[in-house]
This record gives sequence, structure tokens and C-alpha cells, in this order.
Amino acid sequence: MNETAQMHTLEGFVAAGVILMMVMLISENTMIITPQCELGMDVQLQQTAIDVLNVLDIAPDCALQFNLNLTEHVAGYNLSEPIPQNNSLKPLDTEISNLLGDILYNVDFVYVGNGTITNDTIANGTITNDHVIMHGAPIENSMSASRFITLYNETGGTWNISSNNVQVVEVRLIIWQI
Amino acid sequence: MLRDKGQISFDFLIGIVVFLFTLMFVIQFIPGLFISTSGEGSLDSVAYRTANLLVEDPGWWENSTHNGTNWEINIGNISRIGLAEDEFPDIRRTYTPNKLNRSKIQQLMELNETMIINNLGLYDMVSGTKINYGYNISIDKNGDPLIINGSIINIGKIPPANQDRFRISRTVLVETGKIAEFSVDELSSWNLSNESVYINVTGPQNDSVIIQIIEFNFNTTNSTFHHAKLNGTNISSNNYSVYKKTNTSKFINVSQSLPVNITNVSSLRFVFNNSMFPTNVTYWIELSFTNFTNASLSSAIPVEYNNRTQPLFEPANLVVGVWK
Repeated sequence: MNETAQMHTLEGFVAAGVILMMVMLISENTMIITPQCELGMDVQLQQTAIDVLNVLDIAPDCALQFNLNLTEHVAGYNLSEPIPQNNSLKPLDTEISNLLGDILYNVDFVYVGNGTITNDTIANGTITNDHVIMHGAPIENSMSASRFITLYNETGGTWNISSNNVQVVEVRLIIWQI
Repeated sequence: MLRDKGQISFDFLIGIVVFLFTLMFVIQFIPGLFISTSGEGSLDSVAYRTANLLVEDPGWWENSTHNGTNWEINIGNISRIGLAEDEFPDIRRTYTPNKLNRSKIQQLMELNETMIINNLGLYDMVSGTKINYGYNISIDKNGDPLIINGSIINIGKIPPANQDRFRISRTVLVETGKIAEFSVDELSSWNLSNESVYINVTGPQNDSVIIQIIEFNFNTTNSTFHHAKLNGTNISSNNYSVYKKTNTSKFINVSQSLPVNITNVSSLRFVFNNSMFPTNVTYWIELSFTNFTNASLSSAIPVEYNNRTQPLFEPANLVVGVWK
């Protein structure tokens, strides 16, 4: 009787059973993210970024931990301090982390010029991007939202703005989830 | 034996049967592997749209002669539901999206299901038949449900556990009550030696009476807050709570550890139960401190709570879930 090259039937069934069990175990313990779901998560993340900037800007007295709105936070930014993790922006950092929970974020201030706007030195075309709050490198699926703040001579703080000029600062919030 | 070649082998037959069964088994048991996503996707946008309407729109009502965004007091003629606070009800837009109005939230909880479904568009028309979606709208704060006027804000059905559900969460400011804020300098004392300050509250009060005292700047290490009295009688600790905050911390509840040290405290917040102010008379609250002498307390005329109340907004999350 030629017994070579024959299927070992019983072992074959057992092996198939083991493979099936493994596939089921993996499939039941893994969250399968379909592309549709990912798109929904991106929308959610972007919306959260927009909402946080909006809430910071419109918050009335007593609503948040510090009684400051976004303009006041930006005005209090000391341009001469080393960046990032600026000491004068600790309150802003705290407020954002209160609102975002365990979502990670960076904040950039983007403005024209070097923070000194006088009649003679209006916007010579350079755009400054200060990474003022950093909590890491954004990953591929990060989202960002922006809000524009206008500073005047009176609100300027350490910004050097002459009385007949304004400085527009874009507050850019970049957020991502791990 | 040569004739046996080219015929199907019995082993091969068993093999292909086992393979096909395995394939069918895998297809059936891995959820979502072969499901087309095109049909299910629409509800994501429904959840997004509903959350957008509620958070960024003040709503709208109209009849043949009048209209406005204050639908909460004209529920017979609602055309659109929205929760955003609106200073000017005559124009259609709001300047304060993400700021939710308390009476609109409370009125939304009173509306019946048909009205909510129709006004928020939570249905689908399938060949002329209206099919309502399941929905759940809730507001939570730091993971706990938000309570306004004694009730949890949760509208709709309980989300089914075994069904795909589309949800979106929005960061908002919610009006939760009324607050009066005083700086230490504004407070008055009848008697500096017993180091108490007085605040008048005129009843009846429907909400918790929240008083916030700011701009403490005591450097002495043993300044404390002792207790509160109403019309001269000690208030039971069940009827009020005290929160303190420093320049770097959030408000923490210190009601259980009175007297509480207030050195380096930037603000104190007192929350009094509204049931203590039931009738239309003026009650006086007395707050007793020690080593309060650094404060420059002004006159003997108590400050009035009612003149200084403003809406208290708190950050929260509005969550909209929709399912089929």
C-alpha cells in the first residue's frame, strides 16, 4: 500500500480548527476601523479644535479657571521670553488642557512682522510663526483650527503697537489623538 | 491504472469543501469585513448637522404676524430648534454660538418626541414612508451628566448597545445658574472685630444662590473662613458648600474641612441652597473669617446679591448620538 503523499486527514482538520480559532480571537479583540469611521473622527477632532478656540474667546466672567479671554491671553504673551512653553502663556495652556482632556495639542501664533508695528515698519512681508505651546510632534491625522485676534495699542501688552495701528494675530490650535 | 489519471481525487474534494466552509465562516464572523460602507455613512452627517443646529443656531419661530429666535416662549409656532444664546431675538443670527441658553435647554426637554424629530430633521423618507431615527442628546461635564435645576440633561432614547451609533461631541458653555461676584474691597462689615462680612439676598430664589469673592490678597498664614450664618443662625453644612481656588488651581470643594485656611487663595465660591430663601423678604448672609483685618472693608451697608447676579456659564460637552 502506497502511503506517501497522502493527506493526514485528522491533523488537517485539527490545524484548520486552530487557524479558525485564532482568526476569531483576533477579529473579536480588534477594533476594525473602516475608512468611514476615520473620516468621522477627523470631523470630530477638527470641530473640537474650532469649539475650544471659540469657547476661549467668548467665555464670560467666572466660566473658566482664569478670567481671561483669548485676546487677553495673546496680549499677555511676552515676545522676549524664550519659546516654546512660554511662562506668560501658562494660563492659556491650562485652559486648553482643561477643555481638551487627554487630546494633545500645540499652539502657534502667526503674525506679520516681528511684533513691533509702528508707522515706519509696517509689515515688510515677513510672517512670524511662533510655536508658543508645544506638547509634541503632531501625527499624520492632526487637525488644526484658527482664530484671528486683533490687538490695539491699548490691549497690546508687551506687543509694541503704535496708537494708530493694529496687529492681527492668528491663533492656530493643532490637535491630535493617540 | 492509467485510466485513473485526470479524475477528481477524493482528498481534493474534502479539501475544497473544508476550504469553502472556512471561507464562509470567516465572512460571517468577522463583522464589517465585507459590509459596504456607502449605505451607513449618511447618519454621521445627521449627527453632525443636529449638533451644529443645536450649538450654533438660536432657533426660529414665526406666525403670520410675528417671528423671532425666542422659540422657547412660543412653542406653538416653532420652525427650528436651536440652543445658542441670543441677545437680539428679532434677527436670525446669533453673535454667541457655542453658548447655550438655559431656558432653551429646559424647554427642549419639555417638547414631545414628534416635535423634536420634525424640527431637527431626525428622520428619513424611504419611498414615501417616514422612518424616524433613534437619537440621544445629552450634556456632560468632565464625564458626569450635567444637572440643571435638579434634572439631568438627557433627551431621547437610551442608545442600543448592539447597534452602530453615530455620535458627535461639541465643546460648549452652558448657562447653569446665576452668580454674583464681589471683590473683597466691596464687602462690608458691621463689626470689624468679629470679622464677618454681610451680603443681602432677597427672596424668593429659584436657583442656588452662588456668591463668589475675588481678589483676596492676604499674606498672613492663618487667615481662615469659619462658617456662614443666615439671619444670625448658623447654616447647616447640608445647605451650603464652599469652594476655594488659588492662582494655579481650579475650584476645589472644601466644605468638609471647615474652618478652611484661605492664605494664598484667590477666590472663594459659596453655593447656598435656594430653599433657604423661600419668601419675598431680604435675608442676610454672614460669612465669618479670622485674621481678616488686612482687608479694607468699606461701609456698613451690606452688598446686595440680587443687584449683582449674572448668568453663570460652565464649560461642558453636548453629545448627539443618532442610530437607525
